[in-house]
Amino acid sequence: MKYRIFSFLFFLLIGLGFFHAYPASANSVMKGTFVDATYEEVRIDDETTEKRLKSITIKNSEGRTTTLPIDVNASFTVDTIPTTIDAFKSGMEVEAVVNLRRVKALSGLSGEYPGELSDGEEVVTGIVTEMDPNGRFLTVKQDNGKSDTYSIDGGTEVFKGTTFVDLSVLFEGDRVKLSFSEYDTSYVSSIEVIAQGVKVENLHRAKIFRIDPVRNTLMVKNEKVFRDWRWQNKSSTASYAYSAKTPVYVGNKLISRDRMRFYANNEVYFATVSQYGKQVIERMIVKTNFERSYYEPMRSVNLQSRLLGLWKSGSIPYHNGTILIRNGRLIDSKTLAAYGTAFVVTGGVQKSQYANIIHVTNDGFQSPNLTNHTIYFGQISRANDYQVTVKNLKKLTNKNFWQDSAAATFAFSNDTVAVKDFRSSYLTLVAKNEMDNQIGGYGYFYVTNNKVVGAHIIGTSSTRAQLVSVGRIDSVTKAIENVHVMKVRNVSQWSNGTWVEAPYISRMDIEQATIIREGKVITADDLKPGERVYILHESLVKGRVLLVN
Amino acid sequence: MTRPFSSLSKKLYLLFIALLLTLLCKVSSAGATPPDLNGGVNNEYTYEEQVFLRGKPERFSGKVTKTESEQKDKKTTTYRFTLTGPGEKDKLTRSVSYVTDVKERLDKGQTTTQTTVKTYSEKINFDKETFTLVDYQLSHGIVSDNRPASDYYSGNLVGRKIYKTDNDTITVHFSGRNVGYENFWGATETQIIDYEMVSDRGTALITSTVSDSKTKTMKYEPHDPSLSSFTGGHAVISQRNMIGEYTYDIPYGSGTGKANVGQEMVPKIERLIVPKFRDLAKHWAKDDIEKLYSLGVFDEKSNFFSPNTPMNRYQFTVGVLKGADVRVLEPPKNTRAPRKPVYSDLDVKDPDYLYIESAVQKGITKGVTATKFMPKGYLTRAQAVTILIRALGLEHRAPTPGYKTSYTDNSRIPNWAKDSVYVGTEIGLIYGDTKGRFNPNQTMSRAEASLLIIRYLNFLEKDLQQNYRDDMLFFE
Repeated sequence: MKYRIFSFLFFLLIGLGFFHAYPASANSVMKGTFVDATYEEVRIDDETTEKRLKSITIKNSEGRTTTLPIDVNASFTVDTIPTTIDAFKSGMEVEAVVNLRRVKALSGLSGEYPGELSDGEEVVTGIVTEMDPNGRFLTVKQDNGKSDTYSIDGGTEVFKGTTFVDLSVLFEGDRVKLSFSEYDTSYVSSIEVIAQGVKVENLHRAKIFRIDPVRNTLMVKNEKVFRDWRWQNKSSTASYAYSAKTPVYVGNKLISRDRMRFYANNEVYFATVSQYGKQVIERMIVKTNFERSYYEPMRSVNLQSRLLGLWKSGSIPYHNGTILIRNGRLIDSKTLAAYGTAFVVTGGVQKSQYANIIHVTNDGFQSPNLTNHTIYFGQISRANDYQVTVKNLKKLTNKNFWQDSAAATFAFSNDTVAVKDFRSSYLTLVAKNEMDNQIGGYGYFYVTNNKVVGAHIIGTSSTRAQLVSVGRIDSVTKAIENVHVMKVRNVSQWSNGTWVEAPYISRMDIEQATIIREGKVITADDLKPGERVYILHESLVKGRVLLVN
Repeated sequence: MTRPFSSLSKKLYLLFIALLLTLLCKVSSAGATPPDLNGGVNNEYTYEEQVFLRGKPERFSGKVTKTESEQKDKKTTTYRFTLTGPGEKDKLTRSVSYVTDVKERLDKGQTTTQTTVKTYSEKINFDKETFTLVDYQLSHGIVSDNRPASDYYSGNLVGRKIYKTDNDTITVHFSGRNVGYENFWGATETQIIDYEMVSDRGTALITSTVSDSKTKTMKYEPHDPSLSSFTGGHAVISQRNMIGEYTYDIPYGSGTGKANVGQEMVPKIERLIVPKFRDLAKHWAKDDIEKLYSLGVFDEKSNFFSPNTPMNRYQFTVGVLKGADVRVLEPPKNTRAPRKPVYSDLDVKDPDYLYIESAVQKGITKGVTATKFMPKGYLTRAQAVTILIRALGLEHRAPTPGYKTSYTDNSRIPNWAKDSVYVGTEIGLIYGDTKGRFNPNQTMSRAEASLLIIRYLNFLEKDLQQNYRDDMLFFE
């Protein structure tokens, strides 16, 4: 009897302990693999029945299966993401939270690595604001204003249009799509570079005739375009579209669209780009006071206080709406590095209060994307086995002069474009077989990463082109004897370490010139009017090396 | 002997059939689709395209009509072109009917369509040469993912056209793709097609890219007279334009080059009601709040908007659906039958109740618990972004689970919100604070919630257009 009372009390206490201990932590967790779900037919009314989840079966690590009824409001997650019971497949690792023998929550593991992305899923689109000359990083400003720096290397694929290219095609100010193969990496796996609608077509100054805020159209009269260092008359009336994103500045102040109509009959500066055959306004500033213009080397750029330092004219503030152009592209003020020569148009009453336009002369080979691209001039001393050794070597520095360089050996390939002067034209050489016939000959060598992309042998004379100019191609035509001649506008010539304004080039023979665009040798027929060109020339009428962008 | 009545009844019968056909046909749908597959563009009056059959680009322009009829899961689209070319006698007449089988997968929220040619006839007359289309084959498949606030679609096509002249046969093989989206704020379709033109003269390659884009933008119009009951209001401006470009390489003809086409339609203006709130004069979100009020996204009966008080879950969810004009469930026909709300704390008699039920049905919101929606509950940042990303249908674009967001308080972001926070940050809908925190449980003020809805509308209106048109076309 005593034993019975004792055991009764013992079990009672245990039982009480059990019931008291549990409500504090009523949930128990059951781990195992998912086996199956069981459904039951529930009659809703006389005519309808519904299939409802009744229970689930789980197998634990010892192989024992347990079937547990499931709560009607149970939550289902796989890898923490909410889902439905259908996501649970037989064999899936699961954890069931059980309360009073009913499953309240069921979570599963897919077994996939966390943070994986499908190819091309992580994409960033924006404008390149900074490029490392060594090709290691790239800063991109996204449309939402966020700016980030990404790393790139030789494994980063670069596409422009539908062509697989290299980084030399990419300029600051270009719009790019960057793709990443992982979600939390800064390493860019591929870059797509915008192929059109990014280069400035023209800079205009005109009187506003009307602004149509519904059709987003600016109608102007007395239109002038910036050409050969001055505003030249273009047309009496014209109209241009602007996009909903184009900011409108009056002097240095951003104004709202609904205020625009108050500025009719004022003068306006605007920069256009060509989009699908149409000139579209990308930036505009209504001129509020007197214009002054300068063409001087830049001494400094202070990004914080927004000051541009010019060599002679001192500091000129710029503002958020200032039209900034470098390498023919509209750039962010962050890209406005303190090298190069700038054409600056300012506004102000007594003196220049702020810059409305800062147009930096093309960088030529100074551009950070062309660090590994070099023009050499020298004499071939050996050529065999896809190698060419050049002595009496001169290297065109990024200060635009020929610098003596030690003899060097460069590689070449079947893709190397080699030509030799012949009378007023040239002969094409088969690099593999004919380079060794040119020993002793002088020529220009366009070399990237120690490989000759283009070689142009001129003969036995060591006289090389000494003049450097930049400008925009006006036209390329064939003159007598099918010799290609080029006209160039907006010309600047390099003189004493700076660019100076130079007259229009009305006839330059480029038949014997090596022409390079996007890292490849092209022909004179491929040149298009409006393209920006860096010219290494012997005289005002004879071009030798053209770098086009 | 003639029977006048029989001929009359025949006429009447034909008239009846014609009337029936007219009723069945309806002119062009709400989306934006470039007309046919020739890289052409149109406005209300003019259609233009470039024809390359003679080895050079030749601009033809004139009229196009598009008719569509729908029967069950079949759609018939007919284009009729009457165009003239650069020469005095150059004339193009084309009539093509396509038949599209539509398969709607309601369980997946997706639609697939397969299009083939039903009938065709085409004749291009030049001064001394006539090109007649003798065969036209096409297969065009599209899948459309129909998310609550926007549909996104993608298609591929392949086909062949054979033209005959007196002494030559020209075979045009083509293949291409089209991508597009369609929502209340805009629709864009970009079509890229490569054509290979083979004849005795040689092979020519032509690529056409064309985009048809519709957008609606909100524009503020000040009210100039000062003696007035209001100072200005918003207008919704609907614009539509088409741009296209052909790039060609015709070794036996014009060589390489580009030819452009472009047409713009006259915008439509819709003026909206003007807000007259007394507590917004200098508020930072004034413009956004007024836009939303004018659009009817937030209905406020009083003259105070109270921008700095917390937004509640109910009004925000309704606003998200109204802002993107998400289709809501039809009100039940039998109003006498007692209805049960989807969550026990909702009232079916509330005029906006169906918005919430639709949001639940479309998976935009899932309530706070299985039975409670907490309509009066203050909206948290995590809830707001989750509702918006689910409405856009982008929650699946996050990496496989287990990733970390870039926020310093990543661990505080609830699991149900993580995908949305990740995607919302990627598309620029939300940002962290200056310390890099997301603050998922912070409540949103009515002004902050308004700003967020405006960003969501901008995404539907501008970001998608940029992505589907400019970033497609200008990168090609």
